Parts: sequence; C-alpha cells; structure tokens
Amino acid sequence: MNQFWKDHGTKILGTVITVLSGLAAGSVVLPPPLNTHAQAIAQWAAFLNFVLGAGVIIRGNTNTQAIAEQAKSKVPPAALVMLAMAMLPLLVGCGTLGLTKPTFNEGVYAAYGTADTIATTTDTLLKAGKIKGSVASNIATQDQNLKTAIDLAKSTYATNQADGANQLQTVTTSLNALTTYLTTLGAPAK
Amino acid sequence: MNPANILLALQILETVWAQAGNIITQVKQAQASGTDLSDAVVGQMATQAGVDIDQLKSDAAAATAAGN
Repeated sequence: MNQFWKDHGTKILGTVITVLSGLAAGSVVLPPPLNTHAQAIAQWAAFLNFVLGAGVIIRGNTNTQAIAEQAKSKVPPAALVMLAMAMLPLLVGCGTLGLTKPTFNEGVYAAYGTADTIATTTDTLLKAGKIKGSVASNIATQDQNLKTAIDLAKSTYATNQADGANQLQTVTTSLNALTTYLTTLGAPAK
Repeated sequence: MNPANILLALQILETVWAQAGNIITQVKQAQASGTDLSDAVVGQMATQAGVDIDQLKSDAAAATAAGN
C-alpha cells in the first residue's frame, strides 16, 4: 500500500487537484445554485495543492542548484505540463459544453485570458529549458494571430452579433488546439 | 519523479489557477451587478495578453540567438 502511494500518490493528488480546479473554473458558467459551490471547490483544490507542495518540499530536493540542473534534464515535460494545463480549455470551453451560455464579452475575456496564459506558460517552459527558442517563437506567433482573431471577432460583433459570435467560437476552438499542442510537447528540448 | 518537474508543473498550475481565479472574479462581479463585463475590463486583459506575448517573443528570440 505504501509503495503504491510512493509510486502514484503524486499523480493521484495532481489529478484530483486538476479536476477540482477545472470544476472551479467551470463554475463560472454553471447556473445557480451550483455556482455557489465554487468557493468550497477552490478551497479543496488549494488544500490539496498545499499537501502536494508540502510533499515536494519534504521529500524533494531543496538544493536550488540541483533543481536548476534537474530542470534541464531530458525528462519529457508532457505529462506534468498536461496535468497543470488540463484546466485551460475549461476557461474557454465551458460555453460549448452546454452548461450555460456566457455573454459575448465574458467569452472574449476568457479567450484573451487563455491567450495570455498560453504565453506565460510557454515562457515558463522556455526559461526552464523545456522547449527550444524556435518552438516558443512558433507558439508566440500562433498566439499573436489568435489574439488578433479575437480582436477581429470583437470588432465584427459590434456590427453583426451572429458573425462575431461565430468568429469567437472558431478562435476558442483554435485556442484549445494550441493549448493541446502545448501540453503534448513531449520531445526533449535539449 | 523529478522534483524539478514537479515544481515546474506547480508553477504552471499556479499561473493557470491565478488566471482562472481572475476570470471567475471578474465574471462573478459583473453577474452580481447584473451587467455584462465592461469593455474596459476586457481591454485590460487584451493589453495584458499583448504584453505577455511580446515578452514571449523577446525571450524566444534571445534563446534562439543563444543557440537554445
């Protein structure tokens, strides 16, 4: 039993945290009274995140130089990054799940937020040596194009709401695709 | 499991979580007031995304120039 938790404890805790985080994000678009559970869900996620973090501190290597060296190891980051990024599509995807329909501005806001998170996450991976500069540059270009597409959808919506909403939906799908690409970067960078 | 990778994943999770929290807060505030999100709030997020994308471009160019 102990060996089981040693082998899989981090994965299980991480998965639970991700699911709870996703539920909390999804609660934005859930109708009342379900959305009132968001705070409790967030608290559980924060608590489990603390447990996971404490476990890393207690059992992990606290030597920063060693950690910096290990960060440059050739271990594919895909699984861990996927764990952390799994909730991202929920930021923009809940409207397509039939839960409820967010307003156009809420969708635009979430789309910009996702584009921003893609940029900051990619920068984090780049600085950790997990992806090459060329890969990061490619993602930046795609992210910039999608941000421009959000701008265009917003402009279109001002004169034609149906077309603007359709354009935003397309951008949302593309943001999810870019997020998926980011989470599946399995090849060692160096 | 590599501790550095766990820390990296937590760092990313923290970023994503903060952004999700930000979106939740803004949307709930708007819903509580019975209004849509203002263009100003949406514009702020657009600006932030633009800044962070530019930063990524800059860092990616620097990494490429350094042979990384």
